[in-house]
Amino acid sequence: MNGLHDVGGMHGFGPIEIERDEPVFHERWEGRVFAMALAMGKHFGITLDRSRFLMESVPPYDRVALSYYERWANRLFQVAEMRSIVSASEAAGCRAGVTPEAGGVSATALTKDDVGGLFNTIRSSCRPISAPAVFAIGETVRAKVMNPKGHTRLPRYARGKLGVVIADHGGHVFPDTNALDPPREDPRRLYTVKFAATELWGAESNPRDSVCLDLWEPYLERP
Amino acid sequence: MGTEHDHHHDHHSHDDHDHSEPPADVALRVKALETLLTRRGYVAAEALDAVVDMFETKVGPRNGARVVARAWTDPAYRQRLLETPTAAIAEFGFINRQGEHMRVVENTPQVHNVVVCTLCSCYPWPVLGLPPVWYKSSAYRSRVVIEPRAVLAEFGLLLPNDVEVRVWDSTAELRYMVLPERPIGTEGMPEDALTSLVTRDSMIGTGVAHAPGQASTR
Repeated sequence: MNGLHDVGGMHGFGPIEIERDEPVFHERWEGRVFAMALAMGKHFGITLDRSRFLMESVPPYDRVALSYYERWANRLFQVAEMRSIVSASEAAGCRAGVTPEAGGVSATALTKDDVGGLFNTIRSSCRPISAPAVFAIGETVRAKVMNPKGHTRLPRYARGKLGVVIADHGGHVFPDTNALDPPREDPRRLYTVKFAATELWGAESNPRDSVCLDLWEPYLERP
Repeated sequence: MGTEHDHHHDHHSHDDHDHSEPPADVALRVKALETLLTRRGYVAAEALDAVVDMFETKVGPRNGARVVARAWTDPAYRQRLLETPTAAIAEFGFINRQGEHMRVVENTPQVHNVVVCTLCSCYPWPVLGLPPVWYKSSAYRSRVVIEPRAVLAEFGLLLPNDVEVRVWDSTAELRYMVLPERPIGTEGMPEDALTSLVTRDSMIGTGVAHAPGQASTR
């Protein structure tokens, strides 16, 4: 979707604010939100792509007013409700800062001993595919002009632009379908495509500079 | 209006979608949800503590620095790191979530690499930990693709026009780490000492490794 998450090339956000000796979490609740999001993964059962799409679907007016971990907190509420892990009235209570009475215990909590496994489990997005590569390394390709309303990982700034294939990574889960509900992995070939800065941004860019993107075969066409 | 830098809650009216109760401060909302999920058996406080502790004290850019220092001192390792990066990084035991498909891009006198995720906040957790706020900010994500040299200048890094700046936008599940150039004057320095010269920003590409004796920041 053409959302406010897709900011590459936008103007007006100002200078980069660099904080020295920055803590990993600025406030305690940020760490709790992060940890809960990870710990609830097995109960939520949604794909990373779906999760990203939910985040992108936050209306732009709300998005700009929320900090990064506030958006995570909202998504935590949203998915917990969506999966009936908390009811609408329980969620409303929590949002008002009141913990509702919990009903029967219904789940097996992640324990301290499980935490290592939470990270060491490899979640590869590689999938074998039999279809031969449509594009060869060294070939010039065009990123398609497309404006899907659903999830996609082709940023607006690259659409319609010419680039050169510099790597072929084989089959990877296709985000555009893996973000659907229910998800479909529909693995497609993934390439790295190098775009000249002048192609993306015009003659004012340094002719030596470039931007490389990882793009799936359905995003590309022969010019 | 807040930006993604504003960690302090300057929003007052946008969260009043459909509840009769006014929304509580985010810390209270999160606490209430944690209490409910804990009572119901979904999460355990000590497991959440362990996750936070892992990212505050165990997983972070010191991991990546060890990888870089090894690559600087061991040519065979450097070769493996560039050719089979996920496996080479796993030699240190750094293999987990958000590092399943590592790519390592090498800085040279001709090419300077810098990493971004313009669509969200993709970052190689096993080697760098969680990203700093600026990496997730709209300012960095919007600008580094269109004016990388101006952004790098804000980090104090001025690159000559004849050096190619190559920006890597992490649009898939591949996670990028920059292998910075080994600073001059470090010939013969042992791997452990070299590790302290490798900054987080030098592995994102918004900085370079410190020269010997230079104070270590970022």
